[in-house]
Amino acid sequence: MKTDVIVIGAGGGGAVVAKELGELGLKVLLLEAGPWYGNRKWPHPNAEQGETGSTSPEDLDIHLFKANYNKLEANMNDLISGKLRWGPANREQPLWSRIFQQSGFAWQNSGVGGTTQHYLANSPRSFQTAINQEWPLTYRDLIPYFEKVESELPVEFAPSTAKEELFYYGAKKAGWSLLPALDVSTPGYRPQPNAILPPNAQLTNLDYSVEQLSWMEGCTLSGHCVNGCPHGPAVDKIAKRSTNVSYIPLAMKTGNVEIRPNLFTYKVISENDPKEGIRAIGVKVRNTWSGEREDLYANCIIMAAGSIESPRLWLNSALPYNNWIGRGLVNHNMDMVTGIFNRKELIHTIGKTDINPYTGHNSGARFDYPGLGSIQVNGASPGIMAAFSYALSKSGNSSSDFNGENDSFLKGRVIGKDLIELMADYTRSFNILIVTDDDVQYRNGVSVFPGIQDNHGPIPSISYTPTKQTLSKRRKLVNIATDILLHAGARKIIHADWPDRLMIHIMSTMKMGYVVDRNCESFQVKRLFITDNSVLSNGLGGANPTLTTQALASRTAERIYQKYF
Amino acid sequence: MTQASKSSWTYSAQLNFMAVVDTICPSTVYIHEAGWSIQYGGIDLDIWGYLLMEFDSLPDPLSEETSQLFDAAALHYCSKQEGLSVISQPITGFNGFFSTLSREDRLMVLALLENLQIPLENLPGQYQNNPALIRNMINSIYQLTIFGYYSEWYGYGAARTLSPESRHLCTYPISWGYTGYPGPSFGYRVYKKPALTIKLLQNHSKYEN
Repeated sequence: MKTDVIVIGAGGGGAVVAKELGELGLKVLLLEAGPWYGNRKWPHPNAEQGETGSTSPEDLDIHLFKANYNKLEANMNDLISGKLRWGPANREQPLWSRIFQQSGFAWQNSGVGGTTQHYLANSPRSFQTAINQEWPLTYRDLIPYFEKVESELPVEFAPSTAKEELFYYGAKKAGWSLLPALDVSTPGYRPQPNAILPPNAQLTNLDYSVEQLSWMEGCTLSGHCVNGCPHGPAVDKIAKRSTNVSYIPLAMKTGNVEIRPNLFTYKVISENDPKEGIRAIGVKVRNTWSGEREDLYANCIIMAAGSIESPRLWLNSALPYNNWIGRGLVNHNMDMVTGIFNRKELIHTIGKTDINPYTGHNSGARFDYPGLGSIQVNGASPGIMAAFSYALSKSGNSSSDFNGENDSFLKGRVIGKDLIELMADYTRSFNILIVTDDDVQYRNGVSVFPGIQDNHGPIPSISYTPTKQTLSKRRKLVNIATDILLHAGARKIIHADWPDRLMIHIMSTMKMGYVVDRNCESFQVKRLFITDNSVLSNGLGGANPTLTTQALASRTAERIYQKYF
Repeated sequence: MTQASKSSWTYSAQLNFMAVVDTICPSTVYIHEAGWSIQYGGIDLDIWGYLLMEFDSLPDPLSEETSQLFDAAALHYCSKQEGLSVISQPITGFNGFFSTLSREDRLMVLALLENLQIPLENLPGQYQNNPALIRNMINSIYQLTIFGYYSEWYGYGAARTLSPESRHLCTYPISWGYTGYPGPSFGYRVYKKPALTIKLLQNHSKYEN
């Protein structure tokens, strides 16, 4: 098939632009470096190379999908060898390397669906002020695309389980108001707008076993968002709407999109056209199983490889110099605060003795504060919960004595007997994730050193140091979270004080207005577009980035079609 | 219940990784009126084997070099404690020294490394003059030990040494019992009607600039 558009990366943004262009009748080739779970052409995606590509929704297989997404946290989310790691499909091969200039790590997934495979599906709109003051587009420009993506995924406010109820109780007692809105301009708490299907209407009907319910449409509140949701009657009806179960099946239904996993794109091919100037005409790819290399050509090229790999790809492709390539990285400078509760207090507040943080959406409630960022309820399986609550800190090991006077507030890592005691209270604890409105700084970003390379060229080198202002906002959010937990009745608070370079929301390394124009086309290379988190002009004020990136990808698809086809 | 995992690891690397895991997740005895009970620690649940496998699965395997790094830092720490002059030569012949220290001292050694309070030029292999790697390694030691301990790792039993693709649960992951986690589920009947729906919002509010 003659290819109109090549999309690099089948994650949160690439899958959306591929589907939209397919619907407009263009022939799209969607390239993905990682594996594809749940497609018959790759029955053993981590053990065998499988076939080259897939175009038909008939290839999607729910039984295979469920066998692969087995809900066990080490199997799925181990950073080095898990199914959802950042590396090639063959788990006996090592990860893809990154250099952190000051230590750190970036939590990303390779594979069809990209990092949305383990995202919590939180899909808030960006804060209005963060767009209107700093973007080449206005918030109003984005609204029709927010609405389109919200209806297609779809997005719905999360139902409450115990941790959300307790959060609302604490937030209300702390003096905050409910914010019944999608468009945020004032502080307040609300249910998370999540890309998760509403709960199965039969969930409380005892005529159905929970196993039967897990084969029906709708969320079963099983709490496996972060480890990969496998529940639903068909791949395209899975409850949590990662792009591998939402936009990918829709893209395939157009009959115009071919998806090829296991292909790492390591170079964009360009030429100097007498009329257009420098323009992108193709890509060089390498098969991660066979090492075989291939050149592929199309009329337009779209980078959607993520905020680390997209700048790396530009820098490794000998494209024109732009001093903002890779620059301006923001990551919401996250942190974690954990509350531990007594049975007696819980009975009083939520009428139950336990919170059971492993139930419900992994994050079903949030509090937004334009100007500071947001805080979000979190609950997960115990390995992930323990690692993110008690193992990661920039202030070393917690020194407070549990039997001493100051035993209700801890800061830092917790190990040994203290850790054992805290995890014995796992069912009576929940976390609050701190998501800071992080300042864009030129000094922060992604670069490459020519001497340090893997099979795909010089590897990305990441540097990030937060501003004083970012750190001050983070402290304020930690205080708000602590206050809410105390008002909810927590008897113990543990502030992890995460290292600054623990990156989950990675954004703004190919900024709109600096690297790409309003239509996400590169200023310097015609026919080269970007549709991942890297084009966001800032950190959206502290809103999770996926929905905004998807809205932009949807808008970009229209612009590509209008301009070049 | 500890399983000797892979013969290629040196004895000293095995000792040092057991020692570091024991520092973070020790076994604990609870004494109560009815008698006593044990909570198995990271050594018992083979988390040291997990760490060694993880470190050897990196693009540049690090298990042996990390073990040597622990020994070098332990020697530096003890020299300082004794008021001896700082050792200026690359250190050899002290294999497994880290594992001979008390838990408190091992913790001090980890802190020394994390705070880079050790001459970086004499450290083994990739750690030499590489503060970012040292800090990343220390964070990973804590993170992987705690993640491994509370995840299903122990339950892989005899399948632990297989490639990740071939692992399957052979036994109950003991640490689930320590937290009350029931394991993966098909769902929970804890449904509460959402207070807010998008449809409700659309009927009541419109965007105002």
